[in-house]
Amino acid sequence: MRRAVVCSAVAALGLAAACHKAIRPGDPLRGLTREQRDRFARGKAVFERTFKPETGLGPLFNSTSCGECHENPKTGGRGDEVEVHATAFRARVCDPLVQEGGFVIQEHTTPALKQALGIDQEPFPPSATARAMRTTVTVFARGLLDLVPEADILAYADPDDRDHDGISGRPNRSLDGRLGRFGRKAFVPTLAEFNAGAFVAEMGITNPAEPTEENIGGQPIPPGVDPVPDPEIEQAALDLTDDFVRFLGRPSPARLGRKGRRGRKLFAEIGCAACHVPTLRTGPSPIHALDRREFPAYTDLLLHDMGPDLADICLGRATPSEFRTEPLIDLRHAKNFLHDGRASTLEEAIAAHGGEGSAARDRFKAVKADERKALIAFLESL
Amino acid sequence: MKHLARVVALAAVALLPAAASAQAEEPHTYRGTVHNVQPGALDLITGVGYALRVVHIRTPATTVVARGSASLHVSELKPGDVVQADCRLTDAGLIAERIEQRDTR
Repeated sequence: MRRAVVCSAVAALGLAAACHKAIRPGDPLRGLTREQRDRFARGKAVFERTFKPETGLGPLFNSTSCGECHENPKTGGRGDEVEVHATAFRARVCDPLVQEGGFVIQEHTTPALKQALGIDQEPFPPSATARAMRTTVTVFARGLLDLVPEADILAYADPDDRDHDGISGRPNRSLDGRLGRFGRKAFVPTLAEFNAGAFVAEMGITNPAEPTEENIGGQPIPPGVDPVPDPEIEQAALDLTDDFVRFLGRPSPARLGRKGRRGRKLFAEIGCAACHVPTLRTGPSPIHALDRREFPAYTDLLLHDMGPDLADICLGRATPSEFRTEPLIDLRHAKNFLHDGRASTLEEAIAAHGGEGSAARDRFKAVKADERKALIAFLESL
Repeated sequence: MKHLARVVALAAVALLPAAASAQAEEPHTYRGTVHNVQPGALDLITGVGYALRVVHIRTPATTVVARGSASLHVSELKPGDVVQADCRLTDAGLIAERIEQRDTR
């Protein structure tokens, strides 16, 4: 009898675990339909497809596939690549240097372009006033972030710091004035646009949403260098890639022990949560798995002034020192931190927070060593 | 019958340039940020995500420029302004018919 009770208890626990099965990095969202899971799998194949010059790669590019950079610990995760961006900030207006090849500086060329112009990478724009290094972010949970209602994001904004807490927060805007949410400077309004732009800017793959190649440092592409007709991928492939990224789940945070729970409390108490808003909720969506879902986001998707030491380029309305609050997602697999990867530990990353983050940073420094460890333990659970 | 065929042929010849012109002058609407304003033209930065493009638009005296219900002169536009430009694509390039400055605070 006792054995039967134990068996039942074990079975019940197993069932509960199955019902609340953790989402691992690279897993799709829970609750997708069979058709959506199929699109996730087919989109992953496009995401991992290696492009060559004869299939549209280049003539300028940073990578040969999406998955080459977004790879750790699984497809869609972080990467160790660091790319260069450059813009000009004059009279408080940001110039993305489109006429000099755009703000993403491609670091590779196809053999044909090298032969035609004798260059190994895109020339650095001469009008740039700043250079930025950018690490490869994870794209997990981007489908959820895409659906957070604009009104919810704007509700966190306090551009004039009316509540006098030292934290303002304001939205960035795209070139056509829409609320931005993607990218380190929140310059891109939607996931679909981020993906379409990345195909061109990172791989030189034109697509129906962005059917023309960038120029080469302001000069047209030499004849014959890029013979594949535009667009170089069709809408269906772009849509599948979108669905793969959109359906990537938010990896479940690890179960917290006592130390982690203390760290989570401290995270709120010392003010980290003022910008790294722990939970966001998606708006209505026809996709059940994305429809009105609360998820651990740890971002407000707004720009905050992070002080002069972290400042690099402007972008849209973001000044050089303003950055979007980074979503704290899958931190346990991150090997470096901050937009340029300058911090190799979470402690270093917190210590580098300036501007609106300095009060929380100082409170972190002021607490006892074991409390700091507890907060780090919590962050490492995310 | 021969007369009818001639009339149809003549009509077709007469209508062809109009059809070609209509095709050439198809409307284009751009939303973007003003990059610079020159006499008789402006450059607009448009684009998707990280892939941005510059569009050169001519602004003849007939171009209407507005901010809400207020009329503006094209020279009052400045770099960084977000606008919607309704243009015609002609043999001479894009010509703005109306530019609306948008409030995006």
